[in-house]
Amino acid sequence: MQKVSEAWVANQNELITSEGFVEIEYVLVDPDIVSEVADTTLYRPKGVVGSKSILDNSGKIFQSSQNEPKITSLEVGGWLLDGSHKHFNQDEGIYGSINSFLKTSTKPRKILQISFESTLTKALPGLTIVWSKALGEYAVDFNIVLDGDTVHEVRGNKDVTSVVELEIKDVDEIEIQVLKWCLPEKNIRLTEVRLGIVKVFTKKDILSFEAINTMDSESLTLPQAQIRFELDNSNNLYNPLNPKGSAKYLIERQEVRTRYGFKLGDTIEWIDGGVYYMSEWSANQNGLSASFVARDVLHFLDKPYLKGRFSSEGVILKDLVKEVIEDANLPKDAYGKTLWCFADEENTYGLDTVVNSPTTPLSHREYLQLACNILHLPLWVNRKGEVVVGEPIFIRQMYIENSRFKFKMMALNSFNALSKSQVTLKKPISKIEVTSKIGRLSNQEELVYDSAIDLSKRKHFIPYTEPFAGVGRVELSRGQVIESKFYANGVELEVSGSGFSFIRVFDRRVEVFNTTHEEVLGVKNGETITINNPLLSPESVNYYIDTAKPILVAREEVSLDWRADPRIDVGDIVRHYDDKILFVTESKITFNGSFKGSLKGRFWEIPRALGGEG
Amino acid sequence: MDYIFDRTKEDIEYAKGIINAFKTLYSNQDLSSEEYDRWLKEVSQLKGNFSHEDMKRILEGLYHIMKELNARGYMKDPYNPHNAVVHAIGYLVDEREVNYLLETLKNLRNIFYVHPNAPDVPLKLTHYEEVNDYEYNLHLIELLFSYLDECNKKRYSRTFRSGASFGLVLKGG
Repeated sequence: MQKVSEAWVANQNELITSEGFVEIEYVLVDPDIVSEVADTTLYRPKGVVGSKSILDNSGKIFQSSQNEPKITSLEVGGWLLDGSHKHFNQDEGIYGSINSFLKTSTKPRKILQISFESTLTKALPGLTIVWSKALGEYAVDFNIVLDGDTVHEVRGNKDVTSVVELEIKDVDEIEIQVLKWCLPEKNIRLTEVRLGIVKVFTKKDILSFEAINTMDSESLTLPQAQIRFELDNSNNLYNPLNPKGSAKYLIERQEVRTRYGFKLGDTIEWIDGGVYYMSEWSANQNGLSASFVARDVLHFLDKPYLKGRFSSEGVILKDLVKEVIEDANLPKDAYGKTLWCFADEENTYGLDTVVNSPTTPLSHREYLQLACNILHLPLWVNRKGEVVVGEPIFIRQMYIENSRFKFKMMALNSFNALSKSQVTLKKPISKIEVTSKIGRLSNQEELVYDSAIDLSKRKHFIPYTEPFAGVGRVELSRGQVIESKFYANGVELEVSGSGFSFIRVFDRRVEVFNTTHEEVLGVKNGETITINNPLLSPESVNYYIDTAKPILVAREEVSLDWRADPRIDVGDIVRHYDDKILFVTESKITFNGSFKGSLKGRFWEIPRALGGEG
Repeated sequence: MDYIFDRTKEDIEYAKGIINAFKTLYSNQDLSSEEYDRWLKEVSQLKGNFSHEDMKRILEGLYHIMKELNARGYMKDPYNPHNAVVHAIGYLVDEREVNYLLETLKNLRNIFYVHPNAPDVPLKLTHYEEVNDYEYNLHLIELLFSYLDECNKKRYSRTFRSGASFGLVLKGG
């Protein structure tokens, strides 16, 4: 659950909540361009303090410190004595902005220069510059100079965020120059610069909005986070046939961020909604709206994981998770951190368990799901857009901090529920069948691949058509193998030489033996649940069944419509009327001027430590 | 020295309004040099914000007090705080400089006397009440000088002034 102020909580306890808001921030930039400019260098004028250059998936190329503080300075207007400013500490070194003193003058002042490693071949739709967010100050007149000669002038700007729509193509260098700041004799302050256009859609542009999140606490299925929204397209901006429209810049995997807010007093309190990636869009030729679908970061994990290798001793689950995610090449955040984490780094949750080595060619996300399933841990995506392995940390905090079930939690009751809860009873389960695997390395070496490769290309990955052990060898008719890494589903080679060479790859097969374990539950006419997890070894099956049984036989599934409070997350536990606790497995929020939603979940056994039956 | 120690919340709101008005005007049109100078003066004299004028006044006040203390035999070597803190337009004021101002005031209170109405030395200078307290301390030190001068005036034989009639009840620093 998202942390909010007490005013937010009080607002939710009102009969009619205050005005609600949804905001969608959409970055129109080709993600490939962003990777093209990875070696960008930034020019910093004398006097720049504490700024750092970054590059993230959304094309953000410059950002001052994360929360740009208001610094006490003796500029015109000084500092307002309302207690909101800070005396900066030179030793800390971070106080946010480009501080380059600008006296009243018409001479352009160069404040930032972006030099690309190679010429930009794809078109950038423009630049987004955020001046001083904290002080509400901005450049009135500024120039964007391309390659030192093409000057694009912006005059009379009145916003803290300047979106400069300008086709930038075949350039090596972009320079931002400021001519006039909104107040005289002030330092220029720059909070953020992005390659591409950042469009912020507020509720006046959004015709409809829907966000769906699901989580399976045992990872029997994959989680899902998706938003679907409709925008006003009466100006034909998203019509693909409009040459001046934005449709030409719409590309899959562009980042979309959402946030939710409520007006509380004079201000709007915002919470993060989530980070998604553009997936589908459509605009009817004669329609007034354009609809978009964006999905979570898990869609980056669709490619097969081919780099597992057989090990008779198995692999440690935590290492497997790390290897799979690192191989998936997930997007990075603004500070270069890959968007994934363990829910709690300090607590391993049994992630040191040894499992079968991953030799089957499944997708990255399937492997993550199987790894989580072994420990009955959820796999989910948090609101920062990170893939999280492990249960939401607050559940354990609630165990620790609250005894006897007295902790405060969000309540679902007749006050905020729009319908009575519908409880679905699943068919009883009579038998659980779990298949485990054990592999044995064959003594016989087999020819896996017989073809030719181009030696002028140094690095090769040769995939196998079926899984082997990943303990092979390679023969070249000419040239040399500098390095070879064998995996169960392919070999990674670094070669030297020239021309073409015949190549033969040999490897050994893994003989897999399946063992089926049955747990009969003594229910007549029930159904059989079959679990086939290739990571499960025969040694761990009994423990797996024992721990899975209470969850699998849980028969009650609850669903209800409610006046949604957008701070709720899947994986949250909420009070269901006065007597039960609901573990939320699916949350759907819609916004059509106000928030509304539906929840799905299952009743949660109250742990004995909290006064429950255990 | 005319210190300012009567800033109120209304002054903050007024300062906000004036600065926003100047921002809007300056962004939208070219001002004549007379208009420009007038606005700059108006903004620098606002009570709700701390400007280079306030810094200048505080630094001059500290130096003036030190010279007075030296003349009265309380302080051996007065030093000019202008050497440690800059009050030029556009200058960023860092924590060390603010600490220097706060410590200097504490030292002055220690080597002289503290008026009974003197508030504690604030921890920073970002809120109007903190700046009021700072400047009020300076004001009260100067007031004590005038009280002492009053006491030292010529009296008739066998009479003296304790200072009680004009509020000279002192406490240690």
